[in-house]
Amino acid sequence: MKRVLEIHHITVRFGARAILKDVSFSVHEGEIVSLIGPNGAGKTTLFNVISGVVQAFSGDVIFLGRPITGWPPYKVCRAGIARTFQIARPFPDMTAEENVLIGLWFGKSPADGSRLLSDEREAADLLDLVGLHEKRHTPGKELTLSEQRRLEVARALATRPSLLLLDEIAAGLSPHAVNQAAQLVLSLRERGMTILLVDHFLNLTARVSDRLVALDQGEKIVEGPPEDVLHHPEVLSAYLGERETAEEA
Amino acid sequence: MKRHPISSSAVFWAVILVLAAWPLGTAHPQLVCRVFTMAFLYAVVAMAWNLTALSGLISLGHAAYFGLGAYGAALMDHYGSGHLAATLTAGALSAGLYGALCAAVFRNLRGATFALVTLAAVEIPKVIADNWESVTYGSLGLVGIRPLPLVRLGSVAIDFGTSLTAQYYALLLLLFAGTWIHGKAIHSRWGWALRAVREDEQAAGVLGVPVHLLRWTVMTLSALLTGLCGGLYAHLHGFVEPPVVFSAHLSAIPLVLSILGGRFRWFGPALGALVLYPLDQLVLHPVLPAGHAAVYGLVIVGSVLFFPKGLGSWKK
Repeated sequence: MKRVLEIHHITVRFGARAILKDVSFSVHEGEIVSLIGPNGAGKTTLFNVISGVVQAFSGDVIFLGRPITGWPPYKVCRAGIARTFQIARPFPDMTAEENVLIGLWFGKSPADGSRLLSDEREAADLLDLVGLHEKRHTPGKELTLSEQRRLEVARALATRPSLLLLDEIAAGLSPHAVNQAAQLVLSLRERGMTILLVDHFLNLTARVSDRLVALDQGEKIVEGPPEDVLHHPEVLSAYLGERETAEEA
Repeated sequence: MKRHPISSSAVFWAVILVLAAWPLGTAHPQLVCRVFTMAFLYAVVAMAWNLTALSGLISLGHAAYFGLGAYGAALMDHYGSGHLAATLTAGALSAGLYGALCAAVFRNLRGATFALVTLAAVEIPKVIADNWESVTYGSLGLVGIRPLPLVRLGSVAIDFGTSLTAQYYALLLLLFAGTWIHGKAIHSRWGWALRAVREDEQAAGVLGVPVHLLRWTVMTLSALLTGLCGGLYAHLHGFVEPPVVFSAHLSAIPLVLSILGGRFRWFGPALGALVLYPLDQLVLHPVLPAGHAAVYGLVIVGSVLFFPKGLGSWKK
């Protein structure tokens, strides 16, 4: 299977502190891979490195065979990687439709150079896909948390990515909304998307992922099929350690 | 897409029509003509300033670009060619280059820090103009800058140097050009990119908007336009001196006019200029010769407190 994303020995330092230490793994075409790990494991930082928001101290990010390390965010996006944020950040004063149009206009150009649908029609289809059609004229700031997360997915899809990075799309959602999110992720894969998830609370991972990559304190501890990783002693101790720390606090 | 309100733009166009027709009457006071000419100039400075503001950055230092534009044109007129195209190009380019440099150096600054450094950036060209006496004549300034030229259209000669009416129409044309650019910065894809950067630059970046390049371009354009206005000012007044063309008042004016008129409307800054500048010069100045400028301060406070989106948003 073709490798869509290769992370080679990525290290990130903020001052003297290493946030990520020598992390390597790959994501193959059509796969759903989840990054799991307790708070501070470095999952979101890794997303930031891939999307160009944070610069790595060393290591390489290879996307579809091309090194993209150090590229600015807009170039990474136009190469075909889209992301959402852990704390949803829709453009607050733009309507849902306008949020999506930004992605359509400035993301990757359509493959064949021509467009079959009008921008508004394409935006409407994407909002339909995430169940926000009714809210298309509502400003970003007036949407609920779950709606904002779904809007971010629609907006990311508007940039026509081949790899989608979803940061905690299920965090803080009701069980029903988590189910909806799981359905959405699976339907995106059916559309040919490769997906990398960050999932701190393990809400989605077991249900949708083909593989998990577990991080703890900036290091990769294990990767493999969900059932193996979730029962791995180091993963258990990383999560239990977090729970004990939380209980002590 | 939500359209801008027809009603307030219709009002704006009506105002422009009246302004275009008004001097055609036989007798009109020269003072009023002059005041509106300057109002058009400051309207363009306000729109130029607002280009930077539309990308989410508030500049407190547009006097730097205005002063450089005035000095660039004056020095070209004094030492080089007196041709208007040459002087205005020199003015606009001096300001544009300084703007491009500032945009590059300040690219990672936001909010209050950005505002502070722009305020400081005025001092550098001002101190140079004030002290490089062998070239700029220091605090004496440069006098005797040639007036705008006489233009012949067939058998008709229009003297832009002496005819206030001709200057009025020339500046009205500049106002149209400025409003067109400003309109594009709101109602075009470029405008949407600016808005995305203003609302959340990190989100804009990951959606494919080239944040740094966009800000650099818009700040450079903003400085160029302000410099062009500075160059015109030098020709209209015939002299430049550091405390006048680099004055803090010139940094404040575009901000006040834009906030009053409405920063997010294509006609907002121009509306602010057309309302406030004539009001200040024709009504308040005769009554309060010393304190009339205080109205700018009052307008800022009043606008921010009572109608933060400006006059342009009076009706949806």
